[in-house]
Amino acid sequence: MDKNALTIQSLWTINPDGTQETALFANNMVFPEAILDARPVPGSHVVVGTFAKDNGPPRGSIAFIDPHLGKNEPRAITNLEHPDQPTFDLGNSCEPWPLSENVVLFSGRPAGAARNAIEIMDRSGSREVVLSDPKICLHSPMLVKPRHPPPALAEMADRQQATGKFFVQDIYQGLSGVKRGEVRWLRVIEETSRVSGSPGSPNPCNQTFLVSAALAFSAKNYLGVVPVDETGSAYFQAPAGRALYFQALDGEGRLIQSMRSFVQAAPGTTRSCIGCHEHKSSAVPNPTALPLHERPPHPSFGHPLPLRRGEGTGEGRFRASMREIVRGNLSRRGKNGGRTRNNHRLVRTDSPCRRIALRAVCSRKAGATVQSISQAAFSRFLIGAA
Amino acid sequence: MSCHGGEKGIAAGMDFSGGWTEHFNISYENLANRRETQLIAYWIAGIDCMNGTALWSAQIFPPRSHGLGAAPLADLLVSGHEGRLPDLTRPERDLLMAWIDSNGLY
Repeated sequence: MDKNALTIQSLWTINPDGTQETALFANNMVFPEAILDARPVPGSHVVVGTFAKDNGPPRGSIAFIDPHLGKNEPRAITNLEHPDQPTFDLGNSCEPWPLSENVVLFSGRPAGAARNAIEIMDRSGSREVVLSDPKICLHSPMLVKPRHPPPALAEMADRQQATGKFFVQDIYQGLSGVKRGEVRWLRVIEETSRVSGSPGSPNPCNQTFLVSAALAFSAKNYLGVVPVDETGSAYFQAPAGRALYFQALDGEGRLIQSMRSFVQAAPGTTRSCIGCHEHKSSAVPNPTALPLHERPPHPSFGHPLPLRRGEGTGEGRFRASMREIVRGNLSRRGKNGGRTRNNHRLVRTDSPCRRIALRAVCSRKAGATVQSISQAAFSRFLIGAA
Repeated sequence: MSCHGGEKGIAAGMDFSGGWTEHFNISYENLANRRETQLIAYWIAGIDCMNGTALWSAQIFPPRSHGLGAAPLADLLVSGHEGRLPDLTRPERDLLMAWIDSNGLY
């Protein structure tokens, strides 16, 4: 979320039915730049993968990851080929198939060889060639033997519903330096895709100019806010199947902390967290008061609060916001009563601007568009209707 | 408007007078500019996500270190800019705040 999109290709998990996705490892690490070919070690919580480069060949170094030792810490890594450089992500190895927490089959390049062979390697880095061919590289070793099918997971989603529920136990867990009572609201934002074209320059630079000046990488919708109670608890419903992230706000609506990943709820499911950037493997603290979803006297017991719209909701685009204002100004003379379709009150624009807008929108002359006047009117909005 | 690109000049170096730039427009580029360091869009305390800056943007930032928790523009919005924003409603202000906190989309 709001970070470089190239070299942070981290490891996430998700159930086969599309529920309960979560960041497992390296969501806030630059190196390794990419973790490929990840596989769980049989009978263990440890994962093995290929540490590789962004935008390069899908080869690198083979490493074990122990998520119990940290989400973003190099100490959770055992790099079999570069034990002194845990995050090292170069090389010719790939496609590991773990046999245990200590031994792995993989495709690697033996010393002096011109092509990859199937090798076996242990945690100490000792390796042997299992199979090679002088004419071709050998890839994707797989242990073939009878095994039990993975456990079937019951369907968790109710596909007839349009929303999911979200529960935060105590947002102050993980918010260092923030006093209890300071967080008053959670802002709920959807990250989504830009579906419009990119007017202006035909040559956007560095993949970022389509959306922002090398700031945000995705289009965003502001879905609304929900209150955080005095214990730091929040319980609410939001559209299902959307990539959402939350921002903790103070009483004036100013940002205190923002999520650095996203969460989605499949229809009818509930997602929950302990706090804000707390360790995911930590236990729920013993609360001094019951959290919102367990509090019987509360009139909304068992019923998550809906998002409040109208307080900072709308499209998250500089020009889109302005377009509404301009359209609203134009419709002030008409049926909309001086408000935009999202019920934003209109600001005044001076007569020349309005005349230009009218010409652009109403007469549709060549080269004149709503967008062509939006920046001036938005500027007026930003600094106040003079 | 007169103070920021109008007859009174360009106060605080912020030109909101409009006009297209190669990719955006003057107002947006002023709000998104890197006044002090390439890593931060000064006025909105935005996180730079340009290629090559991943070691900055990947981190979990401390509370109140980006967006409205640190943005100079936030103080103007909350304080009313010394009475120069008399018509700005709370929903409008909150929409601007959300725009700032979502890292300066165009």
